[in-house]
Amino acid sequence: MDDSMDRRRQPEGDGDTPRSDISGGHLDTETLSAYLDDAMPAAERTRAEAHLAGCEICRADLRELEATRLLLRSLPMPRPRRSFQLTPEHIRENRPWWQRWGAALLPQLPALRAATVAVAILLVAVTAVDLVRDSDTSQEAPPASFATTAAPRELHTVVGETGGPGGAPTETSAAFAAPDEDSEAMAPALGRETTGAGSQALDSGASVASEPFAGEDADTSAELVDGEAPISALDQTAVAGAVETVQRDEALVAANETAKSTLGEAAAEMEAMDAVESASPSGAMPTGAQFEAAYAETEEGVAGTAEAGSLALAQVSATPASSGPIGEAVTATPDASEAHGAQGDDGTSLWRIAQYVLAALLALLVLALIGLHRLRARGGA
Amino acid sequence: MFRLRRRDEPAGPEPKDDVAVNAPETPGLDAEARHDERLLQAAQRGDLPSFNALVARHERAVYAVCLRMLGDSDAAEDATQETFIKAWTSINSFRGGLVRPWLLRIATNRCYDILRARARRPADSLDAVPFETEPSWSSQTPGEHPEAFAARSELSARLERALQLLPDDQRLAVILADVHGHPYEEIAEITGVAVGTVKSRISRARARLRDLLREDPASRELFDRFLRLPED
Repeated sequence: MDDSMDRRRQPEGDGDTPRSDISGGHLDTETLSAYLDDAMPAAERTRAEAHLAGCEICRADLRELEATRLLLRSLPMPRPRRSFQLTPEHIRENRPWWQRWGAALLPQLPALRAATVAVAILLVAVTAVDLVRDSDTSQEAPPASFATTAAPRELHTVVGETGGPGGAPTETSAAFAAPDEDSEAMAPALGRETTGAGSQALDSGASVASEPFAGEDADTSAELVDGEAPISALDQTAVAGAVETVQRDEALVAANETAKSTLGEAAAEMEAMDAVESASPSGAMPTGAQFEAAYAETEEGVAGTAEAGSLALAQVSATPASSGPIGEAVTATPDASEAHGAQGDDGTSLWRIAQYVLAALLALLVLALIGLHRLRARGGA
Repeated sequence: MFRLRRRDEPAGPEPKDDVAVNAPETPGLDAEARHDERLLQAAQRGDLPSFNALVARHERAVYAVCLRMLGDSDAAEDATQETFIKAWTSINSFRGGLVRPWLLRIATNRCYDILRARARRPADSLDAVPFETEPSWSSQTPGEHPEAFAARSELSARLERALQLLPDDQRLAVILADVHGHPYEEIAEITGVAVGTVKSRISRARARLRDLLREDPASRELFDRFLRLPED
């Protein structure tokens, strides 16, 4: 009511600290506002009340502020013209599948964390055990010897016996016999060759125990060659150039990867070939070249189907698993070739499989955890 | 004739008028809050009808905040719908407590996004419809002095326009505090700032609104008349 009230102005700026002190004799707006809301310490309130009791100007000011608050409080609540209830369409449109899954999984977050830790520990344990076993065998391993005796786990890779039109008579057959642990060191060359051959869908010889090729390709039937001369020279170079254990493992993994890719598409076979070649540039070079030549001829006969490729791969692995499902056999490939080094040691391949499975599981769990945490962070924002 | 009223005091003559419409969360609503929480827990398990029951309970408040923040009903309706969709998709981010502040926090974030987008494209703000003063909103409280009602209706319309002139932060704070009756702590939670900041924004907003109401002679006359009115 009084113009003198307007002279009281707050300083500019959006200060965080309440200016509740009594300055210049009168109460400032923030103090009055807080007083109105009863939002001040008791001592301050007592002081403000004492001032208000004797100051008509501040009382009038307070009254104006209260009238403003009263008007605000009595503002009507606008009525919306429609309802905002959600229909199933709203939810479908606005919620991608991963969010729905994530929301469903979110309550299980602690369990998922525990599972991740458990899998990680298990993976470390399994790897440790495998390493210990590995070092045990490699310590005992003498230089590579080339055994031609037939053994239960021998592996025959027959390349080029396709009988295709104008097919080169090159017979690149490898017969590896591993009667004892002595041949551990020659495993690398073997691993590359067998996997390479498999990924090319090359015809491969069945081991003594394995079944015939089930008529997959009559021309490319299996042939048993036990360490015949044509290949032995080749293999000697391969073995001579064989790299050390670490490199062997790398080559095996690379070969395994390429072999897996063959399963998906027949066209990938060439790439797999290249990968295998590059994985073993030193020793297996001649082998790779020969494979390539043979592959060019075999391609027609086998029709380059991925199925044949994987079947051949299963054959090449030439382990007891080769009669099982393709996928199983493919997974077993690196272990199978390694198994030649440690004959009769079925545990080794199992340990290796366990490592791969655990590592894959761990990767999945970690990805799921990251996704869930991000989802939760988004929701909380 | 004039006395100070504390917030938690039973409503004197002032909130009596339209409080039924404003329906702020009062301490007596513990059962309501618990009901909200039960509905929300069911919604977290994927029960859409429970969630829609929550929508029915809070949509008016959410819409009112959006409308006064955005100033036009079309944008406010969109923002309200988006708020509830967002609430459903992030329902697992609710960590107990009161449901309405949680919803209002989502709503105000959405409103700030829209206001920022408008600020970037000034052409839009020219098109923005000025706040509609719908006479149907105002209703005369039974027993209210006719003269008081007339003054209050006119002042309400002016106040709505004055609100639109406030800075966004101040407008939001004073709407939540005085129109919707939220305590300082809840406003701090909704807007994500310190309680001291909330306090400061509210007092600035009230002072500015008071000044705006007394700016032109006609409005000033109304305001003064309103001040002189008997309280009962």
